[in-house]
Amino acid sequence: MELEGIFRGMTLSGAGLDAERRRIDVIAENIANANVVATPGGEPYRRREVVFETVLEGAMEPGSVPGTVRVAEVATDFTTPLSEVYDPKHPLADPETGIVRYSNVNMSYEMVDLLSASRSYEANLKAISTYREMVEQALRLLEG
Amino acid sequence: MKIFGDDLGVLAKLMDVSVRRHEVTAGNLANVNTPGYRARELRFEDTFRDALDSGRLGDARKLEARVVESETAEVKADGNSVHMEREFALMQKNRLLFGVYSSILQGKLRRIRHAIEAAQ
Repeated sequence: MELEGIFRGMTLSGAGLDAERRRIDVIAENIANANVVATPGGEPYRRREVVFETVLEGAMEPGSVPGTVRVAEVATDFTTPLSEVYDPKHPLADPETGIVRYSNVNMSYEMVDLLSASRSYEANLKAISTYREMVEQALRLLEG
Repeated sequence: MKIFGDDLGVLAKLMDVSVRRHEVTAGNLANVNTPGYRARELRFEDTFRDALDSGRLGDARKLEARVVESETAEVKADGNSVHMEREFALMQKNRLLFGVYSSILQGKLRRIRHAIEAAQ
């Protein structure tokens, strides 16, 4: 096995850690902006979501690298409707209807997503520590 | 001349396959949230058994492990078929097997060294 091959298991799980951390960042951004009525563009904040993709490196050939993961894009959610609250006294309320449009962030949805992301992060961490144990055990063979 | 026999090569191969299998599992875990990703697994035992039955273990190094999509895993709504619990179970099992191979190899190496030291 070539030397870089020894660390391949770690590189893989490292990519997983990185992707999940990006996801947690975006969820944190959504939660922080949950009550934003006006972004610099004037529109209410729209929730964002990371999209993962597999980086295939000839994954099906014998002895090749299994696919790692990366963040393909951070997509803005235009399908979930913005929440509308009737509040005529609000400075940004519609002068005719008295409705204020808030972001389309749904707290319970974000919390579930956050839990899933943090569990996946832990899974990758566990994979790294298991791999480390294996390499250490193999290295102990050198001690005799 | 064969002092060490075939089994050192076989053990080394099994350890190598263990590390490969860990990589495949780690790849599955890294892709647990990737839409459309299908869980993969490493097939080696069947080739190994064939070699064992036909007594061709001498060239164990040349046996190849194959990465295939696992067919048994249920596909979730987003087209992903990675199940974290299953992968963890596989990873732990693989980890223990690696420990077994490594211990056996260590024992063999120790005995070889004893033999060498006894000759001095």
